[in-house]
Amino acid sequence: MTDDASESMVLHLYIAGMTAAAMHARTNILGICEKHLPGRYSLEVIDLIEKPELAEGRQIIAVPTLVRKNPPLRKIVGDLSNSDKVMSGLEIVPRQA
Amino acid sequence: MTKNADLARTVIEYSFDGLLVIDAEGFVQFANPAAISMFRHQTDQLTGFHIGVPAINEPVEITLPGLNGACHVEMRSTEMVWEGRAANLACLRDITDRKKAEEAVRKQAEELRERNHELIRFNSAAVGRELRMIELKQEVNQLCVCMGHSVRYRVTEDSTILPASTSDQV
Repeated sequence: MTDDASESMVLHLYIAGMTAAAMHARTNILGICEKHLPGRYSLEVIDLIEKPELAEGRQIIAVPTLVRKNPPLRKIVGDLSNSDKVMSGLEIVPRQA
Repeated sequence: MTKNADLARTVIEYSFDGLLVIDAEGFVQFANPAAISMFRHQTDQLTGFHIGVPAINEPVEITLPGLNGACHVEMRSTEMVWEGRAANLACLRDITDRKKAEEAVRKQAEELRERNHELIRFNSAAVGRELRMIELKQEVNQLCVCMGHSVRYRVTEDSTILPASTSDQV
């Protein structure tokens, strides 16, 4: 994934309504992606209140959950405030300032 | 198994808080009965489930969406070693009832605010109308004086205006 700088990282953020944790998760992942993957990611926010059928099919049992769609599939749960865990979980190589 | 290990397992099994051991890839390696109960509407096989790596610093409210309504839990997480490998220990506390109580209080406060606004609007309209009536009656009195007639209304000490006499009442 991160070996190929031209490949875009596809991320799905599952939430259940715009809760505080959901808003923090969205803000946190956008901050990380803008800093380390500018122009090389896509983020789709999926609200399970609007689309509950997606939870079972995509094996989501707790939200907020961030899913990296590119293989191998990765999942991270929580408000994504621990950026070290997020970056290691998504295999993002820190971008040099 | 040592006596201490037996005691620790008993505490874990009877804990009201859910405990999950999640490996570095996000798979559940261990779940105590409280955690299994919390996720009973989501999966019947929590151990081995790919729930995801916890990425939190502070306690975070997590939602467990379900067909019969969502369950809300507060999650804390810390790093640990499980069977010689790095893992995460997630502690889950069911706060669904607390959330419902908070929501009920919020709705009640909202209703009280709305009722209070209605009372203020009603009071403002009623008092405004009464003040206008007093002004009109004072104007009638002034016109009566100008025309050489006796006043039609009398003003009491508390500013209430009454007919000057029964025969003068409009």
